[in-house]
Amino acid sequence: MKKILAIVLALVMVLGLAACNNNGDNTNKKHKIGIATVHTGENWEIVKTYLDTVVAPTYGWEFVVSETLSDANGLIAFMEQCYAAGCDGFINMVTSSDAIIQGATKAQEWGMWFVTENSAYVEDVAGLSYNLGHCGAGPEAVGSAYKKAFEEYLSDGQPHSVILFEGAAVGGDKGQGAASHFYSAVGVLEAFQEVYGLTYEAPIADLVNNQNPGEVKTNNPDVHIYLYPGRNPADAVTALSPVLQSGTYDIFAAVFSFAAFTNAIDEVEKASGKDIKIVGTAQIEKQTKTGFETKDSTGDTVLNSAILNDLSIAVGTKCIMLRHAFEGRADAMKENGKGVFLGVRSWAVNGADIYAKMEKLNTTPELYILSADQLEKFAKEGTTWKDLDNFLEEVSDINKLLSLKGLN
Amino acid sequence: MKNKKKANPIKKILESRLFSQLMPVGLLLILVGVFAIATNGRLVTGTSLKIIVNQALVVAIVSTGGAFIFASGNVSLSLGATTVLTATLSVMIYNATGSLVLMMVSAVLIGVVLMATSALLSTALGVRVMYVTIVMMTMFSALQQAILGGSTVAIPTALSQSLEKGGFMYIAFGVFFLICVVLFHFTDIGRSLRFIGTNNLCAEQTGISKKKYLLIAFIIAGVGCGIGALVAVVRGGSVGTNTLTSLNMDCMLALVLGGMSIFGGSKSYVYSGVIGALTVIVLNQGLTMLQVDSTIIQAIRGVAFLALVTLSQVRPKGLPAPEG
Amino acid sequence: MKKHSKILDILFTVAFPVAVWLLMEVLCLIFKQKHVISTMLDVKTIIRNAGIAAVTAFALSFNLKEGRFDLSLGAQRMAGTIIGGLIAMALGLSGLWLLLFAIAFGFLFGFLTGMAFIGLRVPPMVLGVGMALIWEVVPYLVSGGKGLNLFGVEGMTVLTESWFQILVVVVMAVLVFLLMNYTRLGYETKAVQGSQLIARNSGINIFRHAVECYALAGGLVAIAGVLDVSYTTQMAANLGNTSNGVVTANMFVMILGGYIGERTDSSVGIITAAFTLQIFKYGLSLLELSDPLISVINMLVFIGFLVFQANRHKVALAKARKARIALAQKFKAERAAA
Repeated sequence: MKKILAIVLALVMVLGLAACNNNGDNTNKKHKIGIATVHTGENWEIVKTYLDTVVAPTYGWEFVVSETLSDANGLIAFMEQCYAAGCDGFINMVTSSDAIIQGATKAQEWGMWFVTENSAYVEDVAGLSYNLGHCGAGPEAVGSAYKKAFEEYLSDGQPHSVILFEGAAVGGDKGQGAASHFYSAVGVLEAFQEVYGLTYEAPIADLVNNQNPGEVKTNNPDVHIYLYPGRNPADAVTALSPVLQSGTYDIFAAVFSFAAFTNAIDEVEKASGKDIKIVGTAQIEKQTKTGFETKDSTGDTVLNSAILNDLSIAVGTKCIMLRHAFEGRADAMKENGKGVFLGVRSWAVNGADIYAKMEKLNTTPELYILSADQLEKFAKEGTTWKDLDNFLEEVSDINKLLSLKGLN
Repeated sequence: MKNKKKANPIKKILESRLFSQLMPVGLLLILVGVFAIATNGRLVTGTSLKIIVNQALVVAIVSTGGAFIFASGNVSLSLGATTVLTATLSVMIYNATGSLVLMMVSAVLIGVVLMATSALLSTALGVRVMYVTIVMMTMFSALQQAILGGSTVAIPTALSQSLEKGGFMYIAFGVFFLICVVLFHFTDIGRSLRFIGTNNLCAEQTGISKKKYLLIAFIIAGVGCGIGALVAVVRGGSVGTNTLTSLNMDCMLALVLGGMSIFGGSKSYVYSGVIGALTVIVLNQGLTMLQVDSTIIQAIRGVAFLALVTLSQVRPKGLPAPEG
Repeated sequence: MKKHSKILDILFTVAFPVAVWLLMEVLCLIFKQKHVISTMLDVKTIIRNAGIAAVTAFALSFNLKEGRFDLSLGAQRMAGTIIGGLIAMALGLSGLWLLLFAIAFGFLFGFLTGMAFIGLRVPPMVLGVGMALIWEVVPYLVSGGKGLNLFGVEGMTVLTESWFQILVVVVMAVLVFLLMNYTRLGYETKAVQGSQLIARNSGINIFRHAVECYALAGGLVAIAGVLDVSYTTQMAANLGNTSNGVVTANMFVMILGGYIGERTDSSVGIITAAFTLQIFKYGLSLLELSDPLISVINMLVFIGFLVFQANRHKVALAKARKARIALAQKFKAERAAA
């Protein structure tokens, strides 16, 4: 009997706990936005703080945030829960094209405004009236940022060689994998091709889409490019150890999680006494600052170049798009009745000095790129998607961005 | 001095078959009732109920098939990985041939072949079922990744939508569930499997071939994986390396929550998977409607799961083990 | 049981890593014109990965050998490592303290899981699913969703040193050896492995024993977590009941270790198995196979080994049967001759 009582009490506690979380305001007419996230970690926590402290009070919205999702099935299940919970807007971060198609179609069926965080445009559902389109890291921008960063390294007249951890690049050009990873790899390969006049054994897209790790064959025996596709940095660290030790490669690039490789690279540097430059995709967070400020065993900084992305500006832009839709101005966010693609430009940061200024971004409500004032400004009638795109273009220039936020 | 202890009526009720049959259903109804009140009835609107059923379908189908394995006192941890690999291969077959019929037939066949392979490793080659399923879980998942290479495969959206609107998911579930009910509760297959689960040795001595029935159980579970794969494809439209990654655990969670004993035996019911899947989804849906943080939902799911399982079982005097 | 000379036992043990190294050496030379082990860094990498695998296998073996498969072990690893690590970092302590805090928290989470087991008395796998859901949330909430990041944190270099990692693994192996062979816990483990029911009837407190096993497993698995995170610098606080994959991946080490250890000791066996399989995996990555393909090959070998282990007694049985028939025929022939 005691046991039953104890368990019934436990159940009451659980349900009580749930009830405590209920705001109890069921008649509230606030807009409710479902957010299907694929992100975790410090960067995502910054976005959550942004949503709670900047977007929610500015627009008077509530957010229902998912656990970390990864596929179309998870997206649909969460969307269904959001719909049942009364959400009328949805931000999707599950990036495969099939997930976007399924999600946008469901949203259309329910009359729920839908906008996606993605680097590739999905034409199939662009014409759906409730689909506002996409806003994410612009693939060409990421690719050109990588290309630019590498051209700087390669232009010293010396032969250089790179190991590239490609992440989920495979299939990134076909609405599968990660488009930003794909175009990052393309950017690196193009930089090598142009600087050294390389001829590859296959078209660049085919090389990036090869799921097996290995060296790319070129016509220049002094230049080596090793591609490693994979989503698990822990496996990649072990597998790449002998490649790093070969002494052939003097640049290491990672399209995500560069920090996971730093110990392995440092060990090789200690053993060989040779510096290996690290280029990585990064966010405005503590880890990037540490990378730029910490010295490795050769006396160089651990992180040499960062291709910086900011998730909060992408999320803020999507919120502005939703705001227009709620106010009956969805057409202002569309081009010829179709959802648009707004690309957030990446910043190529080549040193600690510039990063020292950028690191202040996102640290207070006023220092988010799209702060409350900006959110109000861009939500006004008469604003179109072109204004948002112009703004994204404007802040792609680091100096202009820093001036805008008073950080110069 | 009394020698006989007075029988505890509550214990008697707890140990009764009727209680073990009704308890999971009762708990589900209580959960629905509590959340219906807490959400001012939003949980029990037509749309919400339809959503709950839709979300529960894949887990319900796969775990209904899995109930045959669990009834025999064995645990399969590879039901999810088998379903996802089956879904991947059947979509690839559709994309290669354009034949819907071939996709459906091949899904069931692939599910059966994969599960029968697991069974044969155990029945013909003597490897413990639990070890086989753990290895298969990892291997099928890796195989799917090797095949897809990080990409996804999809059927045309129009096709998945027409199948969904045409009620394919409900028909597939209904037919499979009815067949399973008949096989489990009204034929030798179910009786023999439950007997094996109750007392493996005794069952063998009465002429029941453990190997044969275990193979049959895996084949039925394979059919479940095949149909579950088709429903997952229709619902999600595509399959990738991240598709249904938690299905292995979800099936076990659903079966146990639905009243299935992990040691199998006479108190095994084929509907456990359905009740359990619905319970998990109601909990998720209700908590989401109450705007509980998704992280907290997971913890609540864990606490509720353990509480419900403890409540619906008779507490053993020793530690739980097949031998008692 | 057949008795072998100690030299033969040692040769049997050493034969596994040596044979696998030779096999991979040949394959790597043929296909890639490379050696499996060329530098000291290769040795360091193999030692580190083998250490992590061995410690995880020790943790698994505490419960699994007694029929309890703890599906929350991965979550305990994550919770112990992240929480222990965050506390050590907050206090500005060194890597050694991080390790000690992680062990303490791993031990605590294991202990609580064990208490839940004897309190609720639900089957271990069922308990594991529920506890994993709960334990995964703890490091997520404690770290604010950020997990543990040791990148650039001072004082952590000791954790990545090979001598330190070897020391940790050797100390663990010695402790496990002593625990299993010279303590009450080891005696009780052997009894429960035989039959939990008989062990209980013969006066062993199986409840206390189970809690001890859970707690020790939690502490051990946190060590594996620390060795792992010290190199890759970060451990994410993953949710969704996905944390146990890193633990089950080492089941092959535990089972192969059990087989190798039959001639020496299970601790020696597990360490040898860990080295053997790491050399194998390292060789496969040198062959430039993709991660999933390496995993498939590993699992195929694992299945092959399980089949061998399940049927190896049949060879001995067939030999005995053949000898018996030969003896009977000889006897029959002698009688006929007489």
